Amino acid sequence: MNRRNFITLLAAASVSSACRLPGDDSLFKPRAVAEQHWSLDLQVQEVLRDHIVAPLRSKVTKRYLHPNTDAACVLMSNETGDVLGYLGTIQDGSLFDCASHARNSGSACKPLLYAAALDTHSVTRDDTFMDAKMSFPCTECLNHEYSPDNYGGNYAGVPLTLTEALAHSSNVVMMQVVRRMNLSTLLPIIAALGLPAPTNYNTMALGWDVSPLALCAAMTALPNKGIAVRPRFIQQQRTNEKLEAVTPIRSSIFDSSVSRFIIEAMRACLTRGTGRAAADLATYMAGKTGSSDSAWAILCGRKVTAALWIGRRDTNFDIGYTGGTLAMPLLAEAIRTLKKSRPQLFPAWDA
Amino acid sequence: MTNRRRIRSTRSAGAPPGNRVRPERPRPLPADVWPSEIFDRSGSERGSLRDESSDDWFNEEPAPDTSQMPPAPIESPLNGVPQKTLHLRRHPRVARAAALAAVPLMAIGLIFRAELLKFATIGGNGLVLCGLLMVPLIVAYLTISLVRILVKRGRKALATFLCCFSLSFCGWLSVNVAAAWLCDGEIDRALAKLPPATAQIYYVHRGEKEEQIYLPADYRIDLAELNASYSTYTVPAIEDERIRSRWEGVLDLRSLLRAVRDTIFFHRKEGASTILVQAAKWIRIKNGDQTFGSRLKDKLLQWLLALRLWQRFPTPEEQIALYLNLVEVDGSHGMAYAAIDFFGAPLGRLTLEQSALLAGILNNPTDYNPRMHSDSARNRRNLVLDKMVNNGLAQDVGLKKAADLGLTNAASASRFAFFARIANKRTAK
Repeated sequence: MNRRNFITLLAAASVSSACRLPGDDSLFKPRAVAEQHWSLDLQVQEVLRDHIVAPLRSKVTKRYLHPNTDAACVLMSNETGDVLGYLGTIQDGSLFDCASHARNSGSACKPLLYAAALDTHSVTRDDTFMDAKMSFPCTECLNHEYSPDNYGGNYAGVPLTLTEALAHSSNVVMMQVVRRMNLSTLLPIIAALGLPAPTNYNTMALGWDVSPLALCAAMTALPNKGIAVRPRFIQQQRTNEKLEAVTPIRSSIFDSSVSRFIIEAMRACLTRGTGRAAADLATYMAGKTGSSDSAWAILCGRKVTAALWIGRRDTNFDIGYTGGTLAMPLLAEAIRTLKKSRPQLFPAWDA
Repeated sequence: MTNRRRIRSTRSAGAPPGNRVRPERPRPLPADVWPSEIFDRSGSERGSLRDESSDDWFNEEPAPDTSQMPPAPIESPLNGVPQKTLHLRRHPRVARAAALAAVPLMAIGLIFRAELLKFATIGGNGLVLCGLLMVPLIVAYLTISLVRILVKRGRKALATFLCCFSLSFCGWLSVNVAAAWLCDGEIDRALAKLPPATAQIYYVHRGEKEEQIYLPADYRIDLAELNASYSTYTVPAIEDERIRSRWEGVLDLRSLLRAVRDTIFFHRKEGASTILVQAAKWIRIKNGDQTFGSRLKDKLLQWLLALRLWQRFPTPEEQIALYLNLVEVDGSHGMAYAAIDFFGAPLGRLTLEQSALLAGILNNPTDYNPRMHSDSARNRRNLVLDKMVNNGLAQDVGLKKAADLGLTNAASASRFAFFARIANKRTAK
């Protein structure tokens, strides 16, 4: 027996005797794969990136806006609640999700309140309300009265219909309408819409803290014949070798005639109200602006609803621009661009 | 001593000139001869130095001057008795038979060692391990007894043979048991912390079409993905060239000798760690103590750990996959994360130069981070490509060396999708 054979035998013995534990074989086996089909649309994402993120981060805009100004945008489908576009922040490298953080909505939630009032028959479509400086009884307020102004302190001075009040975003009319409603009927509607409950009944008419995602999902009830959908991020997912569809959650909130009336009022908001920056979209969209410490814009179409929030996420400081001057032009430009590439998402109201 | 000298001189003088027999070493006297003669007062026939029966017990003659006298033959019971010796050269059949019997015995012992270790690690209680630690001691004791007997009978070559193999077997067994005892807990803990084995595939829309996106998520690299990627060659090319061809297993002796030579003679700091030793380093994060003693202790423990890893993951592919899953890049476990984070694609879809860049980063993920130090990362990548050419794994890398790093910038779609994922989790609650 020569030396080489001996070494070979020894090596073979030691290699074959290499001890393997029972769990080690399974460590690097081909892995199980889970699959998720998201509703996210990269085309919409690119439009949002080009027409909302890029202008807000441009050098010109930075001269007028604080560098910490952030934005959140949600664009979802009315039928199924698919979230087609989702913009959490515009800051580079930030993982803060502004789209699901609640901020004061301003008058962006007024269409929902008007619809709730009409749906509960607190007001009728033909009612008119005086738009002038007036006070409302309030136990917690100074002098036991609460007298909100319209934005900029301008009053029409004449009775306004609900359409005109919504188009011009009159705070005084909204206060009167909310005062006519019963809180015990209003709060369940707000909860059914998926919005957080307002904390202050007196100032509720002027907006409360809602997140852009929740507001966008609630707004789908208006173009969708009164049926609100919950946002759906995953359309299908594979679990246990089976591709299962995630069923959309829909709930009927308003009467279809009520929602049609509110949509007409929101179209009036675009043509002659605060959302005149998107006047050319009125053939296929309806909208509402909102101004609190931050700027809001909402656009509803037959198939999609979009909500945009621009504000400071670190403080409650006012950014100094209204929804009609800052948010609505940006959102309208994004929708305009998206209509060029995806016209089937934006059918006209009359079609 | 005097007696021994006399014996040797007598025998060598009396040896016939033509005898080719090797002169034999003097044997010690039988144990009962010399001490018993002192105290033997019975006046037996055996030549005693002091005869008790004589009267002139006190008038003893002075000792004769031995230097002047010719050496007198001493009377020993061994004189005249034919010496029975076994020379292996004279009896080659015996030697061959012994060797042939010893080798399979050793092989069986080595195989049995694995069973013992398996039993020990599965059972895992201290009693079994203590019993295992006793085995080398018992074997060593038996060997030493056997060797003593063999030496007495003159089978010196066989004794040496048995001694070497038995002691090396005992040493190997002790090292293995110690490795299993010391390192198994740490290894199991590290394996439990590996990234999840289940990968998630995300599809999103682009218009009407569906498209797959990659999020910087953690998942475990499996053998299929590793074999389908360039990393199975780029990583050994820079970290461990001889992983597929060496017989030492855990250590790379050539690299070790080179590193020792360079450290001593050229005052260069060089590493000689194989992939397994580096995996052991990731498993056993060393303490910051930089004294020579603690570094040596760390190194020895790393080698033990690597030995145990080598036993649990014998094939080079498994070892590479283990290493790639253990490394940390940007604070996240695993090469899969790094591939998606830097290039927006899984490991299997990277090009050769991208894979080479990732392999080069592993040495020092902070200093070679391509986002921060792009120049050093590029040099490192080109070094990997050169090594691959030297090893015959690639050719014509000139264009690849000139190519851009090809990093994705923050993966816009993935980032929005990341928010969507968070929001989805939140709404699901």
